[in-house]
Amino acid sequence: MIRAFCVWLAATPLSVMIGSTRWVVPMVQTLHILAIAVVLSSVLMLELRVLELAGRSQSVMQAARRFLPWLLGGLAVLAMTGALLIVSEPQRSLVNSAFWTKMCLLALAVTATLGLQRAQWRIVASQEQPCPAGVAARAIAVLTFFLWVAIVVAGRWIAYVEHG
Amino acid sequence: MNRILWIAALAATLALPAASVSAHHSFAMFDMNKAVAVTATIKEFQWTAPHALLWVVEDPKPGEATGKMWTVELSTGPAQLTRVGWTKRSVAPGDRVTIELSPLRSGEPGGSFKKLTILKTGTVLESGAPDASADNLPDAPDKAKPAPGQR
Amino acid sequence: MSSMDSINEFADWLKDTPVATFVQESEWAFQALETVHVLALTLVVGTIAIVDLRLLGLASTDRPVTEIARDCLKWTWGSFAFALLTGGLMFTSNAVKYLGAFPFRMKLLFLLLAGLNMLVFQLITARGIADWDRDRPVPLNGKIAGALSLTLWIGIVTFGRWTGFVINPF
Repeated sequence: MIRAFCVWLAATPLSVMIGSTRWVVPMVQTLHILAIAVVLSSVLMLELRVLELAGRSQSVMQAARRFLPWLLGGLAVLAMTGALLIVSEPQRSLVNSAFWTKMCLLALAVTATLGLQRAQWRIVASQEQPCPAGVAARAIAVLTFFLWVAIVVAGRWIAYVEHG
Repeated sequence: MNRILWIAALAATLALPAASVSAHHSFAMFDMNKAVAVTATIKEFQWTAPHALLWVVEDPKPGEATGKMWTVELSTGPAQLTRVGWTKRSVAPGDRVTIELSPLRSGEPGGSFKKLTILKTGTVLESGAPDASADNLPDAPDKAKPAPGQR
Repeated sequence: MSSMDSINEFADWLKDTPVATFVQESEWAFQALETVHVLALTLVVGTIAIVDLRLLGLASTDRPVTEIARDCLKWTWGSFAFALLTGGLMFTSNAVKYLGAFPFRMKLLFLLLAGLNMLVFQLITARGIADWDRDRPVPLNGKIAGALSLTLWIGIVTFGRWTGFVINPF
C-alpha cells in the first residue's frame, strides 16, 4: 500500500518538477541541515540548563523562553523540507527502515524534551528557592540529547540503507 | 498536549512493521532491463566503498566537439571487486574502453555498471555482483539446481 | 615547482597511504565518518549562531555577550575538532578529487574567512567589550562580525552538501 502511494506521489507535478532540476534537492537538504543545527543547539542549551552546565544566570523558564521557540521553529522547517524531500523521492524515504526509525525517535525525542521542560517548570513553580534538578531529571536531559543525536544518525542512514 | 505526543509516538512505533519491506539496495533509478554500450576514454576511477565509480568521456558523435561524460556506478565496493579480479589500478585515466551499463531512467548520461572491456588488451572486467536483472528473465536457467543425471 | 603542483603531488601521494586505503575500501568507514562529520558541523553552526545572534542584538540580549560566548564556544570548538578530524580522514581517501571540486575549494575558503573573522573580532573588536558586554547595543564592528559569521557558515554548509554530491553523485 505504501508502494502504491509512492508510485502515485512520484507521478505528481511537484515531484516531477523537483526531480527535473539538479539544484532543488541539494538546496532543500542544505536547509534541512541548517534547521538541524538550530534544533540540536537549542536542545543542547535547554539540557545544559537542566544540568546547570550553562545559562545559570537565568531561570529554567527564561532558558525555555529563549530556546523553545527556535526549537519549534526549527522543527517546522524540518517538517517542510523533509516533506519536500519525501515528495522528490518517495520510495527512498517511505520504503526505508531508517526513515521510520527516525520518525519513531523523533516522536520520542520531542515528547522527552517537552516533557522534561514542563516537569522542570512545575518543580520551579512549586519551590520558593531555585532548586537543582534531581538525578532523574539530569539523566533524562543527557539521554534526550542523545536521542536527538540518534535522529540525525538515522537520517544519514536513510541514504545508506537505500544504497546498500 | 502530552497525550497527543504519546499517541504520536505510539502511532510511529506501530508504523514500524512497514519498515520490513524496506529496500536494502535500490536500483530503482536505473533501468536494469536495458543495456547501453558506450565507447569511451576513462576520465576517473574511484576505488571506494560501498560503490566504486567510473567517469568516462564517450567518443564524440559526428558533429560534436567532445563526447558526453558518463557517470557509472558499480554495484559494489573494493572488497567484492577484488574477489573478481579488480584492483585499484585495473583501469586508469586515459584507458580506452567499451563500457556496458544499465542507463539512468532520467535520461542523464549515467548508469549502473554491467561490464567493461579494455580495448588495448581485450581484458574484460565484470561487475562482481549478481546481475540484478537476472531474475527478470523468464528463461534464465536455475543455476542452483544440478543438471539431471549429476549429483 | 609551483605550490599548486606540490599540493596536487601531496594529494596524489595521500591516496596510497594506509589510512586512505582503509577509508576507501572499508564498507562502513566513510559512512561513519560522514555521519559524525554532519553531526559535528550542525553543532558548530548551531552554537556559533547563538553567539552571532547575540552580537546582532537579535537574541539573548538580557545576558552579557561574554556569558553567551562562555556557554557556547567550548561546544563550538569541541565539535569543530571532530568535524576537522572526520573531514580530514574523508579528504585523505580522495584528496585529488576533493581539491578538484569547486564547492570543496569554496568551503575551504569560507572556513578560512570565518576563522579570520573570528580572529579580527577577538583581537580588535572585543578589546572594548567591557563597554558593551551587558545591557548596551553591540557596536557596528561586532554586528558585522556576527552577520559575517552567520553568512559564512551558511555558505560552508551549502558548499559542503554540494561537495557531497560531486563525490557521490548517486
